Amino acid sequence: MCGPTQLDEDDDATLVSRCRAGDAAAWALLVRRYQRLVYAIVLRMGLDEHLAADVFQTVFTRLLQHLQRIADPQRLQAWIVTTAKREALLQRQHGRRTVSMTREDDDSGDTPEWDFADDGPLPGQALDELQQAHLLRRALDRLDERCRTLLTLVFRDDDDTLAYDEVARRMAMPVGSIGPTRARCLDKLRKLVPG
Amino acid sequence: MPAALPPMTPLADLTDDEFDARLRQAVALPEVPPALMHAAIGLWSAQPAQPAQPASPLRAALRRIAAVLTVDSWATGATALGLRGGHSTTRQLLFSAEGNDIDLRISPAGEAYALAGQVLGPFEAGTVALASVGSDARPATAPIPLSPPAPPISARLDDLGEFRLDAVAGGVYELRLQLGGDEIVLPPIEVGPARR
Repeated sequence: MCGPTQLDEDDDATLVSRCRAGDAAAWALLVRRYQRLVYAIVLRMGLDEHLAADVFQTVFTRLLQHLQRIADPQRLQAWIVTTAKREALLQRQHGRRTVSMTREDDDSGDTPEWDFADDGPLPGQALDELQQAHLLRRALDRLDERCRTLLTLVFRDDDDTLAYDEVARRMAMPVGSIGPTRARCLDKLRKLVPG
Repeated sequence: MPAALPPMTPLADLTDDEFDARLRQAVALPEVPPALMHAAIGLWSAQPAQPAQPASPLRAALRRIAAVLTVDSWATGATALGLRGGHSTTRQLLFSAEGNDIDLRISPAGEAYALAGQVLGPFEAGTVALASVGSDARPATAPIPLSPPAPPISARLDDLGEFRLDAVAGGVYELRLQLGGDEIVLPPIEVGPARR
């Protein structure tokens, strides 16, 4: 069996194949790979965190059921996105609850405020953007820790932007180094994203 | 195939400003509660043994399941469904049938209609058949079709459980899905223009 590092580099088709062969570690990695995307989609569909948790579990239950039958695992992400969106839609109808478009307790700046429906872009475009953000987050996770931490601090929500001197303090580096380091880290990140 | 979305600029081709904006979104992706993620990972050990498929599904006795309509976008309103406001010409229906959910979208296509859908459930391999059920199931307020009922049309589910039926004339239809040893029968569906 491959170690976690090799597994993490495996594409979806390889992970699906490993799951079919009974590799529990491959399933765990699929869940970790897509958990943020699924959760972001269901929250963006306007579900509160309780209903989002139900849908999240349903999506991965369906994924597990589907794995043995999928003919083109390269389209796994498309299936997951469609399933998450539709399950969220279904849950909204079942829940019959009025929910906020923003997450509650949003005082830390770490939780996103999603635009949606009349205020937002077309849902299809929004989903595409989410999928790109998901890919970028995966690339960010593969960066070295110093770059990942720096970019995470610099690219926080607009409402919670940190001044460079605060970033410098947290990174224990001179303020004058932030800009050049940021540029180098962005270059590294660009090289990790799919072409 | 569902309606294609306009292609997005690939990540590698984004301008610096666009890349920065997308990175800001990436950093803002919500964190999943650890217990939730662990529960999803734990599904693996909780899964039942895969049921054996009938050796010859066509010869096996089909178990008929009646699907129930759970969502009708025209009845509910696009905004309540979380869809963009305005008058959508696409009607979205969701049906539920013992663990299988069937999503169905009806869109005008020229003088006819296109039906696109997806089965969300454990049996994605299968076929779908659409047959006219005449005017009996037609609401009293609906116009009587001038042309004779169209012959049944069918399609095979693709690997995502999706199907598409084109050139469907307006009328009332019954949609049947054969999934493994199950035959799911949807309630009569009226295919036609939006009613005010």
